[in-house]
Amino acid sequence: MPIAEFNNIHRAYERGKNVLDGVSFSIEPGQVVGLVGRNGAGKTTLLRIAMGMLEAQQGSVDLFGLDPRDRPIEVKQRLGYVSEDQILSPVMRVEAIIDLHRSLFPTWDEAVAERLIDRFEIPRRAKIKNLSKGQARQVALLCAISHRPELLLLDEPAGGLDPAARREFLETSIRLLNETGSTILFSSHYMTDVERLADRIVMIHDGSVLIDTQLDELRENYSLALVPHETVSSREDLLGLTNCLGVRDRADAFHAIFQLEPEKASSLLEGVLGVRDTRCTRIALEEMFIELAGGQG
Amino acid sequence: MTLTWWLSTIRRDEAVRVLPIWLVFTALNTSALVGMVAFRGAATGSTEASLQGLAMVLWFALVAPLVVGRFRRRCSRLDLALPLRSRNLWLAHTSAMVVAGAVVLTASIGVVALHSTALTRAPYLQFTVPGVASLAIALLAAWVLAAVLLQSYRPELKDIPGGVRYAALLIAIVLGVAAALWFLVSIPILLAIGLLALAWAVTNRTLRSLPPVLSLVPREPADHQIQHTSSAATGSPVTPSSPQTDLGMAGLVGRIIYNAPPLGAATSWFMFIFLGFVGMALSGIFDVWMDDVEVLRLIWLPFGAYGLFSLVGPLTYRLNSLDPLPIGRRLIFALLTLPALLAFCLGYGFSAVVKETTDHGQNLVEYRIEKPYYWVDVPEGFFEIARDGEIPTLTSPWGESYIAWSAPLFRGSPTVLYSPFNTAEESSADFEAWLTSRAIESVYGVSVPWAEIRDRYFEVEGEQLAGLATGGFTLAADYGPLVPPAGGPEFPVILLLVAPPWLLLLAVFLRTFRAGLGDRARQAVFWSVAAGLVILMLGIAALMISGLFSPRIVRGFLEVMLRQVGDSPLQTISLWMVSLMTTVATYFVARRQFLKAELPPKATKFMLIDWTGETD
Repeated sequence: MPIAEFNNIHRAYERGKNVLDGVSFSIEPGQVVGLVGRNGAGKTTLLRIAMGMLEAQQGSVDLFGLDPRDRPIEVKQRLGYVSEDQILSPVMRVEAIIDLHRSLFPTWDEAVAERLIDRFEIPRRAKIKNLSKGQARQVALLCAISHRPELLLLDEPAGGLDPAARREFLETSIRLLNETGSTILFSSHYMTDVERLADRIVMIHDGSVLIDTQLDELRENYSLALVPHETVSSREDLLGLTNCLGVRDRADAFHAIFQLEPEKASSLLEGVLGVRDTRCTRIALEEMFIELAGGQG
Repeated sequence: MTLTWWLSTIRRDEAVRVLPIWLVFTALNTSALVGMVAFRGAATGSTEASLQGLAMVLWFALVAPLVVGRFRRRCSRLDLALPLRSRNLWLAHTSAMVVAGAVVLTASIGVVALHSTALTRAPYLQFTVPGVASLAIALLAAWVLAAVLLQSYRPELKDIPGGVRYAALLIAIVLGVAAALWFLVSIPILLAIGLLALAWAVTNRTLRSLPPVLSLVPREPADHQIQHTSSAATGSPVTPSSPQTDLGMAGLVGRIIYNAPPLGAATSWFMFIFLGFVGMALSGIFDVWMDDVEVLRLIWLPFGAYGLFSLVGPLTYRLNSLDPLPIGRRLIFALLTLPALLAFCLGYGFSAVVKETTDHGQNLVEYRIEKPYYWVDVPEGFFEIARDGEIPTLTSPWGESYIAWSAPLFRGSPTVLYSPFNTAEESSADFEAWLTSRAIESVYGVSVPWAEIRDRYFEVEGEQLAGLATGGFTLAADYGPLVPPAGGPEFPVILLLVAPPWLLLLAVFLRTFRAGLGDRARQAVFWSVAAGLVILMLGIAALMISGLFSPRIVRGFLEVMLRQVGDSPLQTISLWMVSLMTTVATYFVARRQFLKAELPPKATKFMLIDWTGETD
């Protein structure tokens, strides 16, 4: 049974401008899912809908088989959540914040909290406003994972942190939760983080899921073909091909992404369009993101 | 630095930027305080406001925004990044404070001058306000000194740190300068010279102590850093805090809501005290010390709803940080609304107790003589109501009669309030005594024969009353203790007129926290409601000034009605039930909207002035 299920989610902030336009996917227990997409793609909106903080105008969300809007307390007690713009109350001391979370989560694990306090060297008596951005985020992480949530939602959790703090932050959260088989859905702009940590990628583009695949499969079964301009008449010729996910018209050539192994993509181009000796290669996630989500610019 | 830089820096200083609001705030404060001075003067029979009293009015009206204002910010972060000397930044900010204060002071003096003109012309008041021009120089000098002293605290920092020390300093400066004004205001020019000399000395000393650049934060480490280091050094085990109870959790959530920006703890407490004060005003406590202040009480009815409403708006700012936590919306809504309502109710309750105690010592039945008029003076709450406008004739056992004095509830209303105790000028002393006896019985339930009243208290010439006997109208001493009957159940009516309207308006505001409705809609609704309540308040004042109704009559009408209700336990219980049930029902209506609300990630502060200045 999936731990989280998004069914045909629609959401608009302005009438007629859907941020999410029919997003559907589900997450099985134990998966670490990276949610990627451009700024404004709807990642934060989707995570907020999962938290029950926003309401889907169409479609439904189930977390642990519950609707987060109908059963917010039960759902949130089983969740952990950290976001880039989440603001812990600046006037409260770390210990008061921890006290609050301890009282809210029945499964609070004092040992985990203590371990993280020691590891991050967080001053207990400090007020949040006196901490650095990295420390404040560490407190947020501590609060989000010390109750060993069944599902951790991270919305750009490492945004604004330096590379060392970012890695420390993500590895700590992933490792700690993997110990208990927790599920993680995290959004990030750092493709290296996603590639290192996630075992599955969901890419949102133009309001819907463009790619939903295991990371291994992505490495094996997706390819980039550089098709010289003179070999095809237009971009649409390539887009018309089966398994072609997107084409960018660049100065050197058309950059086409195929959901095929490089050899098969090359064969397809030759067989259908008569384009020979096309350079087809496997593609890194960051490249794929730029090619698919980067537009024609 | 060029003149352009100085002007531009002063213009964008926080002290100058809040000037429009500060002006309105101070003008209203000054107006209200001068009004109270005039009322007080009229009540005590003095015909001129004292110079000291005026100095205090103007001074405290001027410095009130210091308590919550953003004068602690000496410059912006951008200024710190520019090649500017700390001396210039400090001087620019202090100058901006002085300039803003001077503008506000000028407006205050204008308000006082207007009052002075109105009060001098009012024939029934015969109350004059002395010229305030001589005060202006002393007050301006006082303001300059206050600004300089305030800015001399931690001058090396970009922002003056808040906290207990700052609060103590602020109070000391305000009260210290007030004391100087109080004792030396009779020599304003000398006082001004003295204050300015002191300001110059403090400025010099501060400028000498300034480092080349201002700092964002203090040089010394904060307490937590010291503690953390020592803890790490000693390796002492850290004991986890004890688990929180539900009440403790609610307390922590309350702290997040109230102690954090945009309100902050100080402003939150100020708001609670203010709401308590509104409750006090609506209890009528000020009637005990000042006559003719029913006008304030009526006006403050919509102000009660306004005060409660305007508090909740800014509190929504911090809610998005609570939204991801498993905290019930019902608890959050209770924390948003109930403390404010409790402050209001406590203010009312405290005042009601004080008023009840004070009322016992007051003579509710007086016989007044201001020749050529004589009358039995009884509070309007002991008058009677004629719904059809049929005013009875007061007829004594021996047949002397007079048509009772009456006044319509409002202009054109068939319902009238009439006094069953008033007499004509030509009434006999016996008739006056008979009606006085009726008034005593009606108010205190004590029967005093009218002949005894005539013989004990009146001087009679022929059949007419010539005056009061030498000992005066010593009713309480002669027949006391006289315990007035308990008033009717007033609080449920006040609650009904304040809480349900507030909660319904809150529901309308919370309805805008929905998908598809943007910040513009929320702002429009919030400010429209707030403005609507203020306009309602002003509208009531305008209707009273235009003579459409009299606050005394309206109050008397309500008190008579409430007294009638109070006579019947069933009616009293019913009134309480209606009031409480309506309040609870509207609470649920508003809460329902809150339960459905979507809290926007980028929240709005819903404040005219961002006292905390979190934006920098």
